[in-house]
Amino acid sequence: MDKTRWLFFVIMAWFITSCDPLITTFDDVESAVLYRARNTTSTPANNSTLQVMTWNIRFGIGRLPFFGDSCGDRSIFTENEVMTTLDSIVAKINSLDPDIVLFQEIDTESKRTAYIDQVQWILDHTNLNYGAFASMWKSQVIPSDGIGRIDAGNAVLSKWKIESADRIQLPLRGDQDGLTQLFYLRRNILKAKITIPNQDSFYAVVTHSTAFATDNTKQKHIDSFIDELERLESSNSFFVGGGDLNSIPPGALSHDFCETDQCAGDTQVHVNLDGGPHREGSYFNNFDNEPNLLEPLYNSYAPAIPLDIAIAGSTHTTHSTDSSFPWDRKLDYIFTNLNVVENSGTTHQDTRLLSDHAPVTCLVTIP
Amino acid sequence: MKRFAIILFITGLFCQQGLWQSGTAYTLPEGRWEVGLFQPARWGQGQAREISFYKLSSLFIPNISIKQKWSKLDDFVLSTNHTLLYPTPLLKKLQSPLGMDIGEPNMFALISPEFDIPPVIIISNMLLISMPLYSDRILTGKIGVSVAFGGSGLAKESTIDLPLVYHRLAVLYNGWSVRFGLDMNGSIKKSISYLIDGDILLIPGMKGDMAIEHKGMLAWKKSHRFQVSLGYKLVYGVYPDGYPNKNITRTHLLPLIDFQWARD
Repeated sequence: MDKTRWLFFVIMAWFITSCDPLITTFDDVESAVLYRARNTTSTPANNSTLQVMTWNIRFGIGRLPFFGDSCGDRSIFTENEVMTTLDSIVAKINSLDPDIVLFQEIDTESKRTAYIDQVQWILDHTNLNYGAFASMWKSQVIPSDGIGRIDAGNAVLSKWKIESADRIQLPLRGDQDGLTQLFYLRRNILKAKITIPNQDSFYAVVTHSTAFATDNTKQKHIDSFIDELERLESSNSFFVGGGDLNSIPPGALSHDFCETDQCAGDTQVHVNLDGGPHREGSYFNNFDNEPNLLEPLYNSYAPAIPLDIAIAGSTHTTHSTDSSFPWDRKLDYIFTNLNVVENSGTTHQDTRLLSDHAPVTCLVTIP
Repeated sequence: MKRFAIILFITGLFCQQGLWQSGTAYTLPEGRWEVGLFQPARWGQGQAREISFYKLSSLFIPNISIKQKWSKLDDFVLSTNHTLLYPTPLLKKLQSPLGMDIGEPNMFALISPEFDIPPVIIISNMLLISMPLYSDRILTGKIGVSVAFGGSGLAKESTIDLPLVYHRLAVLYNGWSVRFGLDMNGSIKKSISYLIDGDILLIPGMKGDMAIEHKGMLAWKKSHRFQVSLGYKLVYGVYPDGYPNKNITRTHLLPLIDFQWARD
């Protein structure tokens, strides 16, 4: 083979092997993407407690009217709009200075949020030093509503080094046609092993269960999350786990938010007594026992907010679809097989303009 | 020798008169039409002038190109190609191909309906020089400049960040772009010809400011009137990014197929 042909072959091989797939699909279990802050800060040496936070940050658009979840009419946001919200999110994080944060709906490479890698940006602007990211929605183009290129998902950010992290695939929605499913979200559990001083096996686990499925996909997602925590428990590991479970706490006063969430111009709103179909994402009794989905978690592990407190009043509600509404349902949780410091669980409801979810924090005791 | 003479004859017949070869400096013989399924329709309007336009897409993107052959010095042929495009109807259609509003769901919309699309035109001018090489090959060099008018009101967030599309429409947002290219045409057999080309598109001053494209095509000529082409396109593109990088690179391999018919 002469040099010219060899060079041609090498160039062609490089081009072909480096081609990028249009839509990214995932193995059942694969390594998550690891991050590190541009400049790391010093880590606490001998903490007796850890502050853990979970926050669905709505990809850094605050309460801007996104078409997908707030009766909005926009799908693409400017760099300035996103940066303004990210500044406020970082200010909130820095004021609390958590040791570990479980993020949901965080974008890393999305046209809708000016392609800002929000994991890297938050690492670079807080005391958090290391990160792990698992894509929930990754495609070079979403051919709908001008969404375009997207990479959004869950992340664990930590002051301590993340030794390894796995992305665990959850079942896809069962109530969609094939084409929609192909371009739709691939939800996951992200499990990160964190190197905390004097701890051999400490994990942070985050998930974001389906919001809009009207079949029992959510049941499968919560079951998978529980299975993963049980595996850690049975291997004598410690964990903090949580996220936006898109489920109401057992015993919550209401499981029907169809009327609350309706958009202007909606002609048919099905409420609890009407039967279905109910508004996607606003009804929490689509299948048997859905209102009690989280019971096994409350029965087995320590919650950031004890159940009786969580369902009493509105102090710990974490979600509303519109910033003009008060927080009206609890969807965001932290559970652990460590001890939660009594009364440390807090729902930060002063964040109503920063996301459609409020962050939840608690202190856990390290043995 | 006999074989060489045949190849030379075929080259002269099919190549040097521009038959089936839209990328060279040669123009179609006067009166000849060539129409491809995906390739533009071409018409030899005069002895040294060719007019072409994209057919189906003309409904949404009115366009016309004129290629004028200026001179032939020794074996060199020099032409210029001038294209006028009005992409506004296409861009508006891409905001809602199925006539849906945002969130309905608005399937297949590649541009968010939230953006206003103003009237905008693109004018492209290209200089082409073709020269025959040994073994029946033709080498064509190209250099071109595109300018856009009326795109200043376009939100930069309304770009379509896809291979082939982004760098061609980037002129709308940037106001101008340049293009360099080399084509090699040749024949393998009497009825089988090939095309290998490479292009560089530059949009100075804009995020995602470059693309390198390479195409390889084999064409089978059933007759003077019909041709089938099969090939690939490799695109190495720089696309817009945000933080921490301003740009991101992607490589894509795309299949190409076309059926072309001709009439003299």
